[in-house]
Order: sequence, then C-alpha cells, then structure tokens
Amino acid sequence: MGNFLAQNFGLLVFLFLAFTGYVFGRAAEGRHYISIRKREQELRHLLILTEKQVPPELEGYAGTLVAGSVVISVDYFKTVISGLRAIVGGRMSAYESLLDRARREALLRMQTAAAELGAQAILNLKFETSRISGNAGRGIGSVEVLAYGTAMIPGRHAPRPDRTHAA
Amino acid sequence: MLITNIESIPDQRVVKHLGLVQGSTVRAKHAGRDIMAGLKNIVGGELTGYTELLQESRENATDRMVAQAQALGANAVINVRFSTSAITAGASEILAYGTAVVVE
Amino acid sequence: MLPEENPRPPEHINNPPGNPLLEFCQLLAGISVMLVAFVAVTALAASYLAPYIPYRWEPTAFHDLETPEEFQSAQTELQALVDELAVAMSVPAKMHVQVHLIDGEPNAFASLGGQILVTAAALQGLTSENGLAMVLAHEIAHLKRRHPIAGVGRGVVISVVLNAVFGASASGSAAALIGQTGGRLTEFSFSRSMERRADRDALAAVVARYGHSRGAYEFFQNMLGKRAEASWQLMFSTHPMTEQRIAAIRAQEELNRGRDLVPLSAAISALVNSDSGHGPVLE
Repeated sequence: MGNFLAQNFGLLVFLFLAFTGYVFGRAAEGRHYISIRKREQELRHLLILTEKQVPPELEGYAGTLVAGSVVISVDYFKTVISGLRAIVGGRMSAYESLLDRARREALLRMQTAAAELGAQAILNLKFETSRISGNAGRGIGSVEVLAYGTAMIPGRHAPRPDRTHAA
Repeated sequence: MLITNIESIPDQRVVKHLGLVQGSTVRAKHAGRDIMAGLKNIVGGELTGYTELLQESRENATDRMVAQAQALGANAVINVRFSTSAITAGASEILAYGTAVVVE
Repeated sequence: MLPEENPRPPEHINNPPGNPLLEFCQLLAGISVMLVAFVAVTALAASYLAPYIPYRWEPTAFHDLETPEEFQSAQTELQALVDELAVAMSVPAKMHVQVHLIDGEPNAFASLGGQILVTAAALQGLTSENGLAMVLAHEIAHLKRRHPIAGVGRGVVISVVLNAVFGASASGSAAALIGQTGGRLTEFSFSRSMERRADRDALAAVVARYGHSRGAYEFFQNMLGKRAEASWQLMFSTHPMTEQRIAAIRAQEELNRGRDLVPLSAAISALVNSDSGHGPVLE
C-alpha cells in the first residue's frame, strides 16, 4: 500500500486539489451570485447605457468618468474540467460562469462609484477584459474585467471624484 | 432583431430604451486543431482553426446578447461592442454588449 | 425615452445551468475511451510491424557489457544453454542471442539487439536446469517475437502523441496527469499480454527439451515466497500476477508425475548456492 501511495503521489495530490477546488469553488460561486443579485437590485435605479449621445432627459447634467474592475480566478476543479474540455473542444461552461460573474461584479463596482457621486445614469459603457499576464501560461486561469463609462450627475458643476472605486 | 454599432438604427426612430444587454461565451477547439495551429506557427499564415473558433464564439456571444434583448421585449440592439481576451491557452473568450431598444 | 430601471434579463442565457460533476465524468469517460483506443492501436501496430524491422537495425546497448570475474565460468555455461534453447526455439540465425550475468537487484530481462541480462541474485534458489531453462526461454521468446523493439517503438510513439495532445491543451499539468495515467495503465495491459505470450512459448520450449514441464515453475514459486501480491496491484504492473503464471504452469503438472529434473551445471550450481537474500523479478 505504501508503495502504491508513493507511485501515485501526483495523482492523489491532484484528486485532493480537484475535490477541494470543487467544494470550495462551488460554495464561493454560489455566495458571489447571491451577493451580485442583491446589489444589482439595490442599484437598479442607476441606468447603464452604451450610447454616446446624451439623451434629452439627462441634458444639463455634469459628466465624469467612473470605472470598476475585478480580477477573478478559477478554482482547480474548473482548471481541470476546462483542460479536458480543451482536448475535446466546445463550450467551456466552467469559465462562462466565471466571466459572467466578473463582468457583473465590475459593473456593480462602477455603479457603486457612480452612486457615491450622486449620478443617475452611466453613458457610453465599455468593457475591457484581459488576463493578468504570465498566469495563463502556468495554467492559472484568471480573468480581469474593467467596466468604465461616463456618470451623469444632476447639477451644473462636475465634482472631482476619486475615479476608481476599490471595493 | 436589428443590430448596429452606431447610436441609432438608420431610418428608424428609437421609441424606448430598455437598457444594457450582454452575451458572452468561452470556447475551445479540440486538441488536433491546437496541434495543427502549433505546426502552422512555424511557417506562419492564417490559423483557420482559430479564425473559425473566434467566429463561432462571436456568433454565440451575439446570439446570447440577442436572447437577452428578446427577453426584454426589444426589437433592436444599438451601439454593440465586442471585447475579447484569452482566459487560458487555446480558448477564446468573447463578450458582446449593447443597448436594447424598441424602434419604429 | 429612458427606462425607469436597469433591466433584469434571464440569468441562464450567459450562465446555462449544468452539472459540472456530470460534465467532468462525461469528459473523462470520453477521453479515456479515445486514449485506450489510441494506445491499443499503437501497441498492436508496434507488435505487428516489429518483425519487419531488419534485425541489424536494432542498437545493441549492452553489447560490450563486462562480466565480473567471478561470474565468467557460470556465464559460459549460461550462454551454452541459451544457444541450445535458441536453436530449439528456431530463433533466426541472424539474431545472435547473447546472455550477460551481472551483479545487482534480482532481475532478468531481454533488451534490444538480442541481449539478455540476468543478475546473479535472480538465480538464487534455483535447483534444476529446468527452472533456469524456463527463465532463459522466456527471455528468448521476447527476443524472437521482437518485443524489446516493439516496446521501444510503442513507447516513443505514445509519449510523443500524448505530449502533443495533452501538452498543447490548456492547463496542461492536470490534463497531462490524466493522460499519462490512462496511457500507462493501457500500456501495462499490453506488457502483461506480451509476458503471457512469452510464458507460453517458454513452456513449450521447456517441454520440447525435457519432455515434461516439471520444475519449470520453480522460479516463479521462488518469487511468490518473497513477494505477496494483491489483485489491485495487477493494474499497476507490467507483469501478470505470479500466482496466475504458476497456475498456468501447474495445469500441466498432472503430466509430470515421476519425471526427472536435470541438475544445474557445475559453475551455475556453485553460484546459486552462494548466499544472497533477494527474491528474483522476471521481466
């Protein structure tokens, strides 16, 4: 038995990591989604649009740049399942939920920054997604999403805000 | 479903803004394509396997964005943008987003 | 007209529901099937093609191996026995089978270029030439069937392809581990079938030479005494279980009642009776 353990040490470590990743990763994702839905409900009044033109309702508002960003990493189980998926090809569902969460979290952080300025809407929303360099080559999947736009604030003078909001 | 990346739909009037809609997907090609791409990398040229992958991903992300817009009762999406990155080697990740509107 | 609030599109569009564990099992099953099929095809192709490789192309890694002084006379006797067996087993004349008696852990194996390596420790406990002939005939059968070159070819092809497939994929480490484990287990099952074939050939050669198979299982029985094996270990082994091998040989025992064993030749006998505590391993 000891011999068997020694020979397959790598395999056992792998199984342990995958199991740990599955249990904790799934729990963390569930918690994150609950938190995302709650905050989205709270910030629903703060409109997000992709247009550049100022709609008639917002004319005369002051505008300032707001941004929100987040870096989320996959758990080990998702790394493994995506590694297998990459061999067969197809949709990587494990990473899709990761991307979905990252994007919504970045939006929420941008909305929070805008809400602190008393904004009513954010215009010309843009997303940037990228990975932290060097990580992907080592098999660490992480995604970085940046959301930014122009917050429209009622009142004549634009305030001087802290532009990036760190949650 | 009308889709543009300008502020409006030509010859149509935006009656109602419905808000932000998004679609995203992460896809990969099978290992055979990865190996062929690796070999192609030696001589250079277009990696057709990956072009195909990117195209499929983009269509899929657009479809999802349109599905969101339809669920909101929109008949057009304006100001559509794409954002892409590499979440992990050999996989493409594409995000499509825009503003769902009702046009007449 | 601007909306009152941000919309809430359905969640399942960008995050379709699914069971990750189920997906994992499906992927693993699918990849395992492909892996086993690939290794099986490669192994079959290797054993089919090996006999067509000209014998002189095989490199002879152990050709110039020096025999320790004290083994010289025993090795000469071993070589004489090997030569007789090779002729009896109709090994092609071009293939010169050479046996080397060496020091080291108990082991006996056939290598590229018609080389057989036997450690002195592996011979400990043998009492008859019949048992010794069985071991040597087993290794000669490997050589005659070109198992060493087939094994090398198979190993090279499999490792290159697995590296390409699992190395090119994302997050190589985890996938590579799965690939290597699956590939190894499948390869082992082919090694075991090679061993069984060599056993059958060797037994036939021993029966042809001595007229019976009594004493042939001496070597394996010797080994069984020193190592206990459990059935789960079989999966991780390149050799069939010792008990299975003995059972196969014992099936013929009925025929062997009252047959005489041939004693070992002088120098080998002297070597075997000197002290060494290891159990032999047959390869």
